[in-house]
Amino acid sequence: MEFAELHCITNYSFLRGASHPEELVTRAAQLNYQALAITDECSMAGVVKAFKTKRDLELTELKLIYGSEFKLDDQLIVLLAKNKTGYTQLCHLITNTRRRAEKGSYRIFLDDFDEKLSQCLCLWKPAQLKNDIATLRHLKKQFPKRLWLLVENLLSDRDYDFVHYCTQLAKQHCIKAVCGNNVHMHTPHRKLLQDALTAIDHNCSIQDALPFVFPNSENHLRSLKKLSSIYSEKLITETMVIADQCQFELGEIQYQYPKDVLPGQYNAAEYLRILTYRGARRRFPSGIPNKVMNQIEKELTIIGEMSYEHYFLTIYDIVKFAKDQGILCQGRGSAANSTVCYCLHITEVNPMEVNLLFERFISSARSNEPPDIDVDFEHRRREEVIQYIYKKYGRKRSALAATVITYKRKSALRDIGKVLGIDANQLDTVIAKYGWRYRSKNWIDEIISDGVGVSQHQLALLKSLISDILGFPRHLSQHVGGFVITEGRVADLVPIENATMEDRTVIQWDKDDLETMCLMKMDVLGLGMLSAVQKAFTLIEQQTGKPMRIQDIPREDANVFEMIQKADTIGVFQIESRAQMSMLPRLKPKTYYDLVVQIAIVRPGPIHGDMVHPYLRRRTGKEPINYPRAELKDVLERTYGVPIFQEQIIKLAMVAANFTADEADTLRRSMASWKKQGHMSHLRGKLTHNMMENGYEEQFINQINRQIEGFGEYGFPESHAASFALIAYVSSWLKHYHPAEFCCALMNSQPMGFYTNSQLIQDVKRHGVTVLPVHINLSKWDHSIEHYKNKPTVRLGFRIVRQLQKSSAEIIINLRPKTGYQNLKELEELPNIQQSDLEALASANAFEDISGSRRVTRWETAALKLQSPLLMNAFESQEPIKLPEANELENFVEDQMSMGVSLGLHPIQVLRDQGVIPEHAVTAAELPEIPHQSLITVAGFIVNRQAPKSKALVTFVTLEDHTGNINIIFWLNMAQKYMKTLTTEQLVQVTGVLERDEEDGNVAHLIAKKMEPIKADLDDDLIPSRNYH
Amino acid sequence: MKPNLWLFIHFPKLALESWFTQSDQPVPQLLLAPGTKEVMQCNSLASQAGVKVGMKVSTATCLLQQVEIANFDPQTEKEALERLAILCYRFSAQISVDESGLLLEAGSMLKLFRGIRNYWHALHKALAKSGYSFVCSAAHTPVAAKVLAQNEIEFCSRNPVRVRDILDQLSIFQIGLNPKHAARLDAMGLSNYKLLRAAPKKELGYRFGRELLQQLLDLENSDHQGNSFELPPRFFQSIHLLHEVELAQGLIFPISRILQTLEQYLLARQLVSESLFIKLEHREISPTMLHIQAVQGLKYQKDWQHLLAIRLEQTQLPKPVIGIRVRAHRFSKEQHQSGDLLGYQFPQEDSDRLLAFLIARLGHDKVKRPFTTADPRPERAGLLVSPTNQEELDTEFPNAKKHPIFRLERIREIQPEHYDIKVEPERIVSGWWDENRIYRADYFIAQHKHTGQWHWLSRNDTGFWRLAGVFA
Repeated sequence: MEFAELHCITNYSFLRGASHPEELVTRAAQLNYQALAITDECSMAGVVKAFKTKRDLELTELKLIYGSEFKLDDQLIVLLAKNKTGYTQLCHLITNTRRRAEKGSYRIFLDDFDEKLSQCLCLWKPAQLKNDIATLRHLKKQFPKRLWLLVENLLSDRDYDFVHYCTQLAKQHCIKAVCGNNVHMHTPHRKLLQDALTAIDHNCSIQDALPFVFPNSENHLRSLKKLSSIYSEKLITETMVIADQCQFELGEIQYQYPKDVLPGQYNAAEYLRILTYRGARRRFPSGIPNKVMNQIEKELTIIGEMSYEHYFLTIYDIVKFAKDQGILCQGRGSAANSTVCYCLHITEVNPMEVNLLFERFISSARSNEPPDIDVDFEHRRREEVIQYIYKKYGRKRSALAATVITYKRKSALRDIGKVLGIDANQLDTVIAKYGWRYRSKNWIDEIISDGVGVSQHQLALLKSLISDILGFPRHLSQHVGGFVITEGRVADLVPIENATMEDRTVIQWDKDDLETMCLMKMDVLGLGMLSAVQKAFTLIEQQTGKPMRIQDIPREDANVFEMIQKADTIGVFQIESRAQMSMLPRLKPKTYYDLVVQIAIVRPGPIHGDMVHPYLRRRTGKEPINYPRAELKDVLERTYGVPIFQEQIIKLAMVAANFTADEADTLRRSMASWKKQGHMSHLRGKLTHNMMENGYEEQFINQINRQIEGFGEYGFPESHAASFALIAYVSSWLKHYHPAEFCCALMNSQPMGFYTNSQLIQDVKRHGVTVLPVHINLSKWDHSIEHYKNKPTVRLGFRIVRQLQKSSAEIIINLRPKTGYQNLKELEELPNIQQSDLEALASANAFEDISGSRRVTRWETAALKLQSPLLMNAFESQEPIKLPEANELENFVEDQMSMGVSLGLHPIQVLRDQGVIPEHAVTAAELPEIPHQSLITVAGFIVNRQAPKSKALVTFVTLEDHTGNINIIFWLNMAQKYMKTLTTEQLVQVTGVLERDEEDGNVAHLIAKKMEPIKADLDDDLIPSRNYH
Repeated sequence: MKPNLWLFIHFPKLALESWFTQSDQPVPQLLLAPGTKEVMQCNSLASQAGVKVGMKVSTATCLLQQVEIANFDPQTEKEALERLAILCYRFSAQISVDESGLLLEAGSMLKLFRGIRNYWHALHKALAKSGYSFVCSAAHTPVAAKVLAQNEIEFCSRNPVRVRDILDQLSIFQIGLNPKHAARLDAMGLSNYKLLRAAPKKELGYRFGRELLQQLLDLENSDHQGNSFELPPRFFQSIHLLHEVELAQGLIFPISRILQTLEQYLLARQLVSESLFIKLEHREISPTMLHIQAVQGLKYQKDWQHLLAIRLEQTQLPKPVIGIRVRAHRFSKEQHQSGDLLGYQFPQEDSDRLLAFLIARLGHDKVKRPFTTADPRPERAGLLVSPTNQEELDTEFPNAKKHPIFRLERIREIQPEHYDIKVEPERIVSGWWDENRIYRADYFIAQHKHTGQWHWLSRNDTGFWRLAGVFA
C-alpha cells in the first residue's frame, strides 16, 4: 500500500505541534510512507529542518511536500505547493496574511484563496455549517481540478457523522475526497505533551484546558495497517494522486546575491580584487609583505571558486557607508580570520600579528556553508546602518532573520508546573532559588526536594513533560541584527512576518535554516564601547584639532600594558570585570597577543578544562613547556602548549583524534548547541576513543573533554578574541593617556559596561582628574571637557539629571544668555519649560552659583509660575522662611536621588568622621600595605554580589569605600551564615583574613569570617549594586 | 466645647492575616502585591529572617528555608475588615471603614463605658480575640488618630496640644501627605511636621496648592469622618414555646409568625432570602437542624410556609420541641423574572418552585440534575450535581456528546457477537494527569440482536467488553 500524509504540523506551529520536524520525517520513513507534507499553520518555519533531516539521513524513498494550513472561521484549508512557483505563491500568501495582523498571528479571508495560488493544491475540511456550500463554490472556482475534500477520521464521537457528511458533499458536488490525519505528533506517546501544550496555549491548567484538548491520541503518524482499517482504499489512493503532482524540492531555492554594489564596468571578481589591493596598500603603506600578498591571492581564489564575491562587496558597501558617516565599526568572529576582510577595512585584525585560519571562515570543503560576517557598530548609531540597508535594498529585498526562542529549564518548569496545577507562587519560590548549582541530570529532584506540595505522580509527570519540552520552540523572535539581503524578493524564498518592534519585519527562518539553505546573512550589531571610543576621539580632536582613528593609536605601548597589568581597568572593554581584573596581575599582558589570550582565558572553556593555571605557570617559567605529543606543537605552541582557543580544540581533534575537517567542524557547531540538543555525546565519545587509541593520557583527554563542555557554555574563537583585544587595547590607551575624555565618553554612552557613572567618576578622580558639577550656565546636554588649571576636566552634563527632559535642556542651552542666567526668574520666562524640569535642576544643585543653597533654590523654584503669564508678578513672596542647612550626608542623598552621582564627600568618609565606622577599619587604599594572612576589618557599601556559574560554592562581593573597591570572598558556609545581611544590607562591615596570591602578591582577596550591618540613617538601595549576575 | 475623641484602629497585617489561617507550627508567610513579585506584607517570622516590605520575592525566598506565599486578594481583606467593623459596633455607633483600618467615633461612648480607660480596655480585649494584629490611637481629629495609629504609636488624648507634640516628632513622610508633596518638602529641608507647621501657610499654599493646606487642616482641626459603615442585613429570631410540641406539624403555626416578621424585614429592605436555618431545641438532647432552601430567593411568608410544611411532613421529632430559632441566610436583591406573558412557554418561576418543593420534600441531597463537563472520560463527562449551586452550573460544558444519560455503575461484561455495531468506535485516551494509568477505551453504539435495545458498549485496551450505558 502506498500512502502520503498530506496534513501534518510540527512544533513550529507553536504550542500545537508536539514533535520536532526531524522526528516526523524519521518516523514517516520508518512507517514506509511515500510522502509527508509539512503544513505548519501559516508558516514555513519548520520546513528547512525537515528538509535537512531528509538530506542528512539520505531518506531517498520519502518525498517531502511543502504546504501550510490555514484556519478560516471553523474550517480548515491546507495548501500544497506543486512546484517552485507554487511555493513562492504560498510564501506570498503567508506574508500578506501575517503582515495584516500583530506579531504571532494572521488574518485571512476567503477572498485570499484566489487565482494567485494557481500552482497550489487545495485540501478543504468543512465545518459542517450553513456557509459550507458558499465556501465550496468559491474554492471550486479558484482551484479548478485542484480541490479536494479533506476527510479526517480521528475516532472522536463526531467523526463518523463528519465522514458521512463529506462523502455526501463530495458526491453532490463532484469533488474528490482524500484522507488525512491532522497529525500533531509522530507517535501517540506525545499525547501528554500535546495536551500540555494546549493548556499552555490557553494559559491554564490541564483541567481547565479539557474543552480544547483532543479526546484521544489518534492525531499521530498512523501505521499503514491502521490507515487501511479506517479509510477506504479510494481515499488512501487519492493521497498518492496528490503527492505525485507535488514535485517541488526545497533545494531548488537558489539564493542570489544582490548585485547593486557593482559599478558598471567591472564584474564582481574584478571589483573585489581592485578594492582589496587598494585597501592593502593603505594598510601596508611601506609595501605589501609577500606573506600578505600570498594570503590575499589564496583567499581571492577560494572566494572566486565559491562565488562569494558579491557577498564581500555587499558587506564592504555597508561598512563603507558607516565609515563615511563617521560611525565606528569593526568586524568580529570568524571573519577576522580573513586578510581580504582586513584589506577591505571590514575587520581590524592584522594578519601579521595574529595566526589566522582562513579555513575557519571559508573552506571549499564546506561548500554548503556560506560565510557569516558579523560587524559591530556604535550602538547608538546602529539604526542608521539598518535604515541604510532598508533604503538601499528596500523592504522587499532585505529582512531580519528570526531567532527561535525555545524552552529552557526555568520556562519549562514554570509552564509545565502551571499545567499540572502546581501553585504558581510555590513554583516561583523554587525557580528563584534555582541556580547553576543544579547542573546534574537530577536537577528537577534537587530543586523540588520538598515536593512543593506535589504528589509522586505529579512529580513523575513534571519530570517527564519537562524533559520532553526542553528545546521545543516557543515562539519566533527577531535576531539581534542578522540581515538577509537578496537580489530578488525575500518573500519569494521565505515568508516574512511582523516583529514586535515597530516597523520591523522578520523572516520565518533562523540562522541555522539560513545556513542550511545557503542564504547569506550579515549581522549588524551594536557595541557600546565603539560609541564610547568614537566619542572620546571626538573630544580629543576638539582639543588637538587633529582627527583621530583607531589606526593612529600607537600599538604595543609599554605604559598602557603596565596600567593593564596593575588591573587599573575600570571602564576598559572586556577586561574590567572582577574576574578579569583578578587575572590581569597574574597573566601580566605585555603585548597585543597577550591581550588576545587574556580575553579568551577567563571563560568557562579554559576554566572547566583546568588550563588556566598550567598556562600561567608556563608563561612565568615556573613549569616547563611541553606537549602531550610532538604533533601538537604546531597547534599549541603559541599558547605554551596549553589549548586556550576554540580553534585549537578543533585542530587538536583533527591531529590527535583523526577527525576529518567535516567532523571537526561538526564538533565546533555542536559545542555551541550541545546544551539545547545534547547530541554532541557521540562525537565526544569518538574523540575520547581515538585519542586513547593514539596513546594520549587519560588526564589530558579528560581535560580536553571538560574544556569542550565549557566551550559549550561560552566559547571564544581566537579571531573573535583578536577583534575584541584590539578594542580593549584602544580603550586602555585612551584611559591611560586621556582619562578625562575617556571617562566623559563612557558616561555619554551609558548604559553600557560594568560600572555606574558614580564608579567611573570615582575612578577618574583617583587618577587626578577633576570633575565639575552640573551648572546652569556651563553644562551642555552631554558631559563635556573643560580646562581647569590647564588640565582637562569633566563637566557633568544635563543628561545626568533625572527627570529633566532633553528638550527642556536644549531650550535652556539654546536661549542661555552670553553672560549666563543671573537669577531664577529668567528661567520662568523660557518657553516650554516645566516646573518639574526646574525642580530637577534645583535638586541637582545646578543653580548653586545664582541662587544659593539647594534647599532655598527648591523653595524658590516651587514658587515660579510657568506658562501662567497672568500669575507672573501677581504674587511676591512676603513671608521669609528659614530652612535648615543640609549636612554632608543629606547632600549626598540628594545628589544620589537626583543624579546617581555625588561629587561631595563620600558617605563612608562622613561616617568614619562621625565614628559610625570604626577607625581601625582598613580602607581600600591601605590594602596593598597589609601583610598576607592578616585579620582585618573593612567597611563599605556593597556594590557587587556575584555567584559565578563556574564556582558554585563561592559568592564574590565588592565593597566600595571612599578610596576604592575591596574584593571579598564568601565561602558557602559563610554565605549561608550571613545570608540575611549579605542579601538585605547595603552598608556593612566585614572581618576576615587577607589572602595574597602566592604567585603575585598584588592580587589580594579578603576571605570573610564575619559580617555585620552598619546602621546609618540612609535610604535602602541608595547606592545601586549588581546582584548575582 | 470639649474636642471630640476619634479612635483609629490600624490593622498592619490585615491582608496577610485574613488569608493565612493560624497554625500550630507557624512558618514565614509572604503576601505579594498585585501584579508584581514584591512583598506587600510578611509575618514576624519572615521579618526576623530579613524580609522587608517591597523586597522582590526571589530575594525574600533566598532568606527563607520554608515559606508560604499568596497573592494579595482585596476581596478577602475587605470581608475581614467588614467582620471587624461588625465586631466594633459595640464600641461605636459611627464607624468608617478605611483601606487599612477602622475609624470609630469614641467620644460619645465614654459615658456608656464609664470613662476612657474602661473603654480602651474593653476594646483591646475584644480586638485581641479577633486574631488580627492591631494598633489603636485616639486623638481630637480623625486624621490625627489615623496618622498615629498607622505609625504604630499607641496614644490616647483629645488635648490638641498633646496631640501636636506627638505629631511634631514624625517625619514629613509619616503624616499622611501626598508622597510627591512630602518628597518635595523634604528636599526643601521641611523634613518633619514641626518644621512644616512653622512654615507660613500662605507660602505653602502658593507652592503646593489647596490640597496640602486641606491635609494640614484635617490633621489639626477637622471632624470630617468619611463614609459610614452600615451593618449588613441579618435576620435572627427565636421563640420559647409555652408548651412542648411533640409533632412536627405542630411547629408550623409558631414558625409562621416568625416568617411573618421575616417578610416585613425583607419587604422593608427590598431583599429576598435564599435559605432558612431552623434550630429546634429539645430538653436533654442536641437540637434538630432544618435547612429550607429556595432555588431563587423568597420573601413572602406564604411561600416559605409552603416549603416549611413539606419539609416538616418528612421530619420525625426525636423529642418534643421547647424552643425555636430561625435565621435567614444569603440575602440578595430581588431579581424580577421577565417571564413569557403570552403563556406559550413554561416560565422559569414555576420550575424553580417545583424544584424547591422537591428539595423540601426529599431533602437537599436527594435532588440532582445532570451536568456535563469537558472531561473526555464518560465517567467524568456526565455528573449529577446539586441543582442550586449556581457557580457550578455556570461552568457547565455546553457541548454534550452522544452518550446515554443512564450509565451503569457496576461493570457488566458482554459478548460482542450479540450486538450489531451501528456506529464506528469513539476512542478515548485521557486522564493522564490524575490517574496512574492512562484511561483508554473504545465506545460503540450498538443494537442488541435479540432485544433490539440500543446499548453503549465499551472495550478497553485489554480487549475486555462491557455494557457501559443504555440509550433511552
